[in-house]
Amino acid sequence: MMITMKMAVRNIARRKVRSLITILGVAIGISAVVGVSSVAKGLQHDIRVAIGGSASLIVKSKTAPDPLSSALDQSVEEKVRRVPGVQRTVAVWFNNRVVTIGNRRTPIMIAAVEGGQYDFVVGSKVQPIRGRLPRDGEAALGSLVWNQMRPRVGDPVDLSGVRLRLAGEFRTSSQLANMCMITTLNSVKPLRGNGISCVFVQTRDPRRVKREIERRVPGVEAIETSKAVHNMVNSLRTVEVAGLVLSCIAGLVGGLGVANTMLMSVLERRREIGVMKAVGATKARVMKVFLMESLLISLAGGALGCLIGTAGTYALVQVIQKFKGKPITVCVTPDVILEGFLVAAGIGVLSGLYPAWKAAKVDPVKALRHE
Amino acid sequence: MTDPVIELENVRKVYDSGSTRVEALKGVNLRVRRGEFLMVVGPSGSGKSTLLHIMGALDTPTSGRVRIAGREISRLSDRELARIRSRYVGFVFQEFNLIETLTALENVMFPMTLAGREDEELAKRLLLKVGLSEEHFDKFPNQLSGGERQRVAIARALANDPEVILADEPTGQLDTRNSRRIIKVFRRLSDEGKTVVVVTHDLSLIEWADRVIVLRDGQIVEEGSPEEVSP
Repeated sequence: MMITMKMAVRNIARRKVRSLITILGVAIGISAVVGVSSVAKGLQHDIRVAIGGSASLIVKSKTAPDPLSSALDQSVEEKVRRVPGVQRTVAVWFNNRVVTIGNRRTPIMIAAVEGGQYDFVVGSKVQPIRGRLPRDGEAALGSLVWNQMRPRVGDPVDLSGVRLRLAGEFRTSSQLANMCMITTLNSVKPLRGNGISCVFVQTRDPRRVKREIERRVPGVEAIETSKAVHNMVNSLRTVEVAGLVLSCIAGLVGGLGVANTMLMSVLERRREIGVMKAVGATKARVMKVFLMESLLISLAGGALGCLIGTAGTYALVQVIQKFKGKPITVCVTPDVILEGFLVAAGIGVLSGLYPAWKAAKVDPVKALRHE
Repeated sequence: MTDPVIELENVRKVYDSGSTRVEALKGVNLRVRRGEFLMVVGPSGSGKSTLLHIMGALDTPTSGRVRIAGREISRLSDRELARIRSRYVGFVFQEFNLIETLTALENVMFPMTLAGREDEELAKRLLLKVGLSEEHFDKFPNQLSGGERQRVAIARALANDPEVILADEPTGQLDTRNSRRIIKVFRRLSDEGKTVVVVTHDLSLIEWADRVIVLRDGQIVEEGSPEEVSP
């Protein structure tokens, strides 16, 4: 085993330029796979964090497609709270408004959370990185909007005539949340009247309590956050798969390169194959020797592709952020890297099969004939 | 001495490559006895190499019967033929045919790997036995002289302790001095009990053999002790 491995490595090393070009071909395909996957993973992460937090149900109006566009009367919260099994409720009002700070105006998504229980609504920890989280009469900006507006803590914030004090800047691991302004439900009372968007509910038994709420409170629908996350992540996965299929085509081109290199190698090493057979190698063994080589080339391409893909994706995100101001979360998780290596291994085996089969079929007598 | 290790019965071999049809062997009958040093001589194109390949289960006859280690090879699978080449016979070639990407020592260990029993110490002993000094063990074939390479090839043929050594023009690319040295190695192996078959067109070597057969146009035309066959 060690010896066949040495043979493979030395054969690759012996034809440096050819091997390098082949490895690069695979690396380009794998870097596309890694890039697409890490961006898709980033989006999934954003959704997980943006929806839900520690709440297990979100109560919204039956007619609204999602919690952001839902509109309810705040009396609904009281009714929901009385449903058996409900442990905690937090009412939230979402609204898209033009916000004025100093002489800068920009439309921002506002999330007004009852009692300032931000962590309950947002999936990840809401961390103040400047000033503090807002109390009644205050507001805070997500890091991305903060960078855009460049205000100072304590600046007056004008929300269609309602004046709040800017309490600080916050950050969460969700780029979507980082684009919002947060405040308390009381702070925006003049804007919303008795209206709220939805109610976040904590319960130990979401499935039963969901049915109870929908039975007792007319005109509402309760969504299980785990399910909502699941559904959105699933629909994203379709996009991810489509992207992966596209990048696998890039991988296929790399695979053709490997197949070509291996075929040349088989042609050049016919005599060596004859020798292997003469000293007792079975066809299967000869195949293994060549498959090992194509696998090594592809895995080297995989490693390089993971590096290029990771570095390239981060670089691309930086560029996009700079020119378009649009943030993109990128998650290069271990399974993204694993995926890259698996695709590389797949390329190695698939593209090595035909050359290896050709090698196994070499007639030792012809290969060993005197020249 | 009567127990044949390889037995050929009316073996014919026809190479059919489209337009040309070559009859390499035309009905050869041959018994290789255990422990003998047999030499097959004849001009080039007489079918010597084909005969050797068939004796080593590397090639199969068009018709006739071949028994190696008491087994009829036409009935064996690729796996079983490979097993014969791995354990029962050891090939030595004119062009040495070492694997260029492996060192001398690794070349000897390669057949052991295929047989699933790598033994570095044994490989070193074999190399010393055939007269390769230790300083050459980790050299690659292209760093060795012809004589040294052929020694490595013989050690490789001995790797899995085969019953028979089959050598195809083993001195063909060596000068007279090295040829004698190599043929002495074969003689010694034969004296130690190995069966050795050497194919050659160099008649000066036949004095080393126990028995000589002369092949011409695919047929055995003469057979006997070196003295009987000598012109």
